Amino acid sequence: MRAVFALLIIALVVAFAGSLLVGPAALDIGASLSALFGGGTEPARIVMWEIRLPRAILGASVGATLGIAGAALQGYLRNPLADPGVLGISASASFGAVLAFYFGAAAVAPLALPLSAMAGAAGAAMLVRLLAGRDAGTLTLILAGVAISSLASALTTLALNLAPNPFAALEILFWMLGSLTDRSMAHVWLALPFMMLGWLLMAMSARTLNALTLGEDVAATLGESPKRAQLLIIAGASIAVGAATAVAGAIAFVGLVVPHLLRRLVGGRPSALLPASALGGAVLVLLADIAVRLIAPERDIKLGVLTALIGAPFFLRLVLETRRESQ
Amino acid sequence: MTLLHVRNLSVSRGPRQVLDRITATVEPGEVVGVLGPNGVGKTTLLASILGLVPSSGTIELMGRPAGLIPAKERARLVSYLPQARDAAWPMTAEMIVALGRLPHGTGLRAPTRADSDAVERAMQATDVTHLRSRPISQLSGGEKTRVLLARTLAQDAALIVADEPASGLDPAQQITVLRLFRQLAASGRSVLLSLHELHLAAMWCDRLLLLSHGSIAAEGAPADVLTAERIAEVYGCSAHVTESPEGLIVVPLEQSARR
Repeated sequence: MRAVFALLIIALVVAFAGSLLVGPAALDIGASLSALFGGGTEPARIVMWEIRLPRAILGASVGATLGIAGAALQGYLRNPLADPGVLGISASASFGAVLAFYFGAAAVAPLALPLSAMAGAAGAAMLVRLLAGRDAGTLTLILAGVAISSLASALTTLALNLAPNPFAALEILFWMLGSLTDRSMAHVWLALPFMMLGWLLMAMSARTLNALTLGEDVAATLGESPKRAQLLIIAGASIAVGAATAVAGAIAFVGLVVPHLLRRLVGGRPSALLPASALGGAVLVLLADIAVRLIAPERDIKLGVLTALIGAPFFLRLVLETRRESQ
Repeated sequence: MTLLHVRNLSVSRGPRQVLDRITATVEPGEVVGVLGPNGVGKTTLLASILGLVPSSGTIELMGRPAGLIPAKERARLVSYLPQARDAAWPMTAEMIVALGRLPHGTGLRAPTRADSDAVERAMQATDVTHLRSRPISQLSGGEKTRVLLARTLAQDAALIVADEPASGLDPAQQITVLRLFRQLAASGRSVLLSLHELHLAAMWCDRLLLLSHGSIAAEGAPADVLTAERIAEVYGCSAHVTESPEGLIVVPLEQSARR
């Protein structure tokens, strides 16, 4: 298991460095590195510090958020198909953020954007819990997620429909596709502290998640409190996913794919899966973000589009696997 | 001191009274069986003793009101083997057993010597040491039950509450489990278990509580509780009951006139 974490950390360092080195500005490795540490030309320094570094930091932290939130939600709901996207939390966070855009609150007070997205995420998380209930079966959970996602997208579409001008609508639409292009350090400072708070809250549930492997009753008779874990995870996931969605839009399926790939490697234990999925999520989003820059540098393919293209078939496979197991 | 003392315990679900003023005790070193037809409230009784189901009446553990004992401390007094035998994730048998040590620790710190000793002892007791690194999802029903029972033992609690621990096991495994309970009782611990197998209850329990319609129909030594008349009355089937050198032998026979 130590080897798994060592590999993940190495992969993260490599992916982070890779993200810093790829971009439309023609900077070789030497020029990039010297600009990063205060040397080189003025334009090179601006490219590194104002464009690439925030993009890499956001890629890593948004990925970590989606990975750990997926692992925590799966652990709490005891279901491998739980994920902020599948459960409608991301879509609701998007809707919250769109509201902040729509009413111009985001322009007046930057904090309104992440706060509004968090409120959307929290509403969805509580609604999932309410609709699906204790130890929900896969089908109920997915249906609850579908219902919440549809509601959130319907409301978002309404906002687009009523948008004051086509440019505003287009801006909202592009932002919703999920991307890390043209993000600045201001976005990092806006979202990173919230994401870290969310990680901390979710990590505090690790012990209880281990006990929940054997169900809520056993967890309670082991002296753990499933209610406290629920509160920590709903709050943590809403805060972190809300903040991530506010700056990067909805990036789908990372929270589903990463814990699934890593679960067996870390021995199935939720307490080990949380940090592993945070690292794995960071690596996956950084790599996907490098890929969108390399595949079609001029076309600006959105990051969220790429993760959805990779993630959706994966999701289908998982559904088939789950169906086979339950037969 | 009486380990568990339940007085006037009642549980209702909506308008339905599931348990009606149950009074029972478990002394240290006793194996107490809870019997009764399906749906009579055996699981509810066990769950309410564990504080998992809201109930009225009093539940005392070692003379203290159970509700006032902090969760962690209570987990060191009572452990629970539920009827459901599923684990959500493919953790290894050893990791599952080690969950029993959660109430003894303070965080996610590395296990102490006492923890690993307790895990080892528990795995030896239920004969699962050879399964330690197998994911629980790959084990057979009987193996799974033994691993989960080892998890319950590793908790090192004075009272083990087990909901139908014998269900789904072959006769030899059933006897292994009940012999294990007797050994625990011999070392001063206590077991409260629900059972459907009357022959096992007759042979292995010190005392029986026979539930009928949410209240106690009979209570006492197996020979006093499991009479042919009472089995007919509560279960609605005739039974052959004999004393033998090995103990009380109870064989349910034909279905008789229903209660």
